[in-house]
Amino acid sequence: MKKGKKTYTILENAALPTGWQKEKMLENILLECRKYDSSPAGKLYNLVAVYPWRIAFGLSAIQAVLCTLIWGTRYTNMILKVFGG
Amino acid sequence: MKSFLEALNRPAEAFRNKNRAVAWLLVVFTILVNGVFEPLLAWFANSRHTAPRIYLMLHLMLRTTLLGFASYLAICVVFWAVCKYLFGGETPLKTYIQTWGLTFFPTLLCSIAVAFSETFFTVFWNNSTWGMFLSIVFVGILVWKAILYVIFLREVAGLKGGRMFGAFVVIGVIIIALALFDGYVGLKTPVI
Repeated sequence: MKKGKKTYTILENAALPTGWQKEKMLENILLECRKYDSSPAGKLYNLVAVYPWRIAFGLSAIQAVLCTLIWGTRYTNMILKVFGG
Repeated sequence: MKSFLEALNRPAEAFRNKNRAVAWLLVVFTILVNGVFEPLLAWFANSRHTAPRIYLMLHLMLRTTLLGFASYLAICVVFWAVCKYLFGGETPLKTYIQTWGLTFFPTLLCSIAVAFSETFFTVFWNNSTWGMFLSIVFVGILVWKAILYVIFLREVAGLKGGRMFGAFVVIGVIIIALALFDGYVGLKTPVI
């Protein structure tokens, strides 16, 4: 009976999460909490942090269209000179 | 594929999961596009009018590739040193090396765009349609990398508020200096 109890205790301990697993669970909980951050700065961060390329190319498209409409090839050539060659 | 999509769409979670394979693949591809693909493209397109000697080209490719890896390590050391000694960050250097590569989607895209825009410069010059398209690509890449830089400082370096702003400015200045240095030594897209 005593032996059986000991085996049961070993099994129970083995089923418990390790320190690393506990840390991982806490990280996940904190991450989930941040998704429901209600402050405006938190909401903005969440909006930008998920699909960051969406915001980046959206803003870039607006500036590119506006600046090309205003300055034409002078602007596009300047961009090309700075970034592309 | 799932890990690639995670690095692309949810960088904060990707930083936490530290997928080293994705990080290294992105860094290696960026360096290879910079060091091998661009010179080959320029050679085949004959945009430099003179075909360089093979051994000179191989030497240049090897040099650029090695400098690319050195540049990646340098930026990781900068992150670690500035965050640790100036702003009290506790993240070890190893973590920076394992995770900064996850921000290399825009860098890889930039190196491909630079390879084409430089080789076929005459097609894009004085052309407002192509110019506008390239402007969307280049400025978008820059904004994307800046967003990833902020997320990285927050999630990996663990800095917040004033400390994050301070690190953003200090490392930002070093990044500009490193980018200029990379350009000087022949890396057309800085591997940072």
